[in-house]
Amino acid sequence: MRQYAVKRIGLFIPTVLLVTVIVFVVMRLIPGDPALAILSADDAAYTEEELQLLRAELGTDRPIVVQYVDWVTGLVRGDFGTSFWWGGPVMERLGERIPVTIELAILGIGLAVVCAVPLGVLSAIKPDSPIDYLSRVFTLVGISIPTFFSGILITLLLIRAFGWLPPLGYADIWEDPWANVKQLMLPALALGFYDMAFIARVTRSSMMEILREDYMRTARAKGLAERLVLSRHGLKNAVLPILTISGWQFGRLFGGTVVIEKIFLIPGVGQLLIDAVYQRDFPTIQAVIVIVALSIVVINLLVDLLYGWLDPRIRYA
Amino acid sequence: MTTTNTGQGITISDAEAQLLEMRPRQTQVQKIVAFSRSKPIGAVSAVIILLTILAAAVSYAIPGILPHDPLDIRAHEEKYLPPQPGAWLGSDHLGRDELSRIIAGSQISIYVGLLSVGIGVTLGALIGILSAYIGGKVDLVIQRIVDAMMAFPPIILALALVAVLGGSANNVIIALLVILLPGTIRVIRSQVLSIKELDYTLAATAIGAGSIRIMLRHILPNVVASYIVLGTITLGFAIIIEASLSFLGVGVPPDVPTWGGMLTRGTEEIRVAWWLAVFPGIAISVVVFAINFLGDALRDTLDPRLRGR
Repeated sequence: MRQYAVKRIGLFIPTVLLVTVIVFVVMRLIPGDPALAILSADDAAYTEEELQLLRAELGTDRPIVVQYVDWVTGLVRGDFGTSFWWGGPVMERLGERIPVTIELAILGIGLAVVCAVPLGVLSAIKPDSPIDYLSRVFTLVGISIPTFFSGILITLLLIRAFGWLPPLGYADIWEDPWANVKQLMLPALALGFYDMAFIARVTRSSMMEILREDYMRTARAKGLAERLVLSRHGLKNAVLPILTISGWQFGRLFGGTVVIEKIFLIPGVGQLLIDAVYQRDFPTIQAVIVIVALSIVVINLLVDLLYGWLDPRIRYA
Repeated sequence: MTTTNTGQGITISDAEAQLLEMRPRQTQVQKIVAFSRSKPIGAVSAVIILLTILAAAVSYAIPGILPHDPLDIRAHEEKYLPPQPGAWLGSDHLGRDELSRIIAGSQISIYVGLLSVGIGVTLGALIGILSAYIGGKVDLVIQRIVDAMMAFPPIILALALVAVLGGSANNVIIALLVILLPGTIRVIRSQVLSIKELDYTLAATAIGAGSIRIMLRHILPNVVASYIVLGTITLGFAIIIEASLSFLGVGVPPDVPTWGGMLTRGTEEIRVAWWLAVFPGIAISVVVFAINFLGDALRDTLDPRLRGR
């Protein structure tokens, strides 16, 4: 395990560095440079002197390597730069938004796993039954409907069928936990819809494979009750791929939150990012993408380590 | 095992009989017929996709063919007209014709989708082949970059790129290229790694074939199936990303009709006019659904190795 962990963490460090390099390079693709972008916004007139001054102020007149090192050391200290839009530290606003998005993502993946696993298992133990067909149609539809459309459909269904729409917006979880959960349930469902379909599909196929294993036959042959065969010998082994996939999906979910937060007016990181894009607030955009990408790298690392810990075959492969 | 008596004292198994039957080379038409028989849903999906492409091309070439000008705010006398004869999908908040706008909206989806996937998957396949074939340090560096690229949720990377480059159809295509490349490189590379070890590649090396010849004549033809399948599956993905960007209001400029852009308005007006949210959403879902089905069917037919990916 130790060797595996060392090897895996060895891969982690260059990835983290490369992620920061990619973010840095992407943000330098701005035609001209940030100073020019700020000054020429709305076709405003500016002088060469103003441009030089602003460049000096933003630090973009220094060599590119110096700028990169400066930015990365800032990241390590938790300093994500100063917003172009409101002039304060980016982290101040970002810090308020991060818990909201994390809560939404956890609820989304939680709902997905809770619904998808039983569905996948049922569908695998009774292949070609009505419930299997239903679940297969659901998974195919689920992975084809874009996140924003499932959000819209859920909203529409509620309005049409029940004449009811949950209060949009966001109530703080510490102040009013009930209102908070009520508000986040639907966005979380819309967010996790794709993952629910995807996880159900993975559960079904991994369960199907396991049902054919010799040890399943052995378990039955020694007279174990079917329920125990399925839960102890079947699902226990099927959990590994489900876990991995859920971990990976959790990362993907962050992308979906951008759209869902816009539909349901939730003040999370996604909203902040969209606003920053409208306002051309590059330091905020840069901070959001680097934080999201780094969290995903960390989640993937944790999933891999957990996987290695749970399944000895992985660490000796 | 069931056996068949061929009447000459030779018995062959069903499997062999099937192989014998399959032996003659099929013409293109026969291949298509065989595909539609074994994968009817895949064939229907292919027809839906072709019709969508046709609708996009024709409505672009001859705009007059649309029931109304998609930008004409006087297409209907009333705003928020529910679906009815004459205004089959209703009218929007300015009185524009929803049906004409949905047909016109296919142009951007198809243009952005086909172009980004065409370039992205081709480029990705070439890099993947090179990375696997050259191996060593080059491969290691490329794969680390791919690893890092895959850490970005597609939509977030696309948002950042479009924010930096500015919103236009071509910049959305550039953003999509950046997003599509890593996945394609990875899949093609892993295929080439195994092809590289196969006997025919070794044989080609043994008779002294050059690297370029081996890559073009021996490796390339063997990744064509994966290339087609990847291209199909990625097309659905590209269309969703484009629609998401337009939905968020950062992709293609808002005066161009796009499915995603129409959905934005539809969400805002969902209490007043459900049809504005539902029809563009159905358009995207049906096309993506068809693409996914076709991708699955093609994968099963062309390249069973990719199954379960």
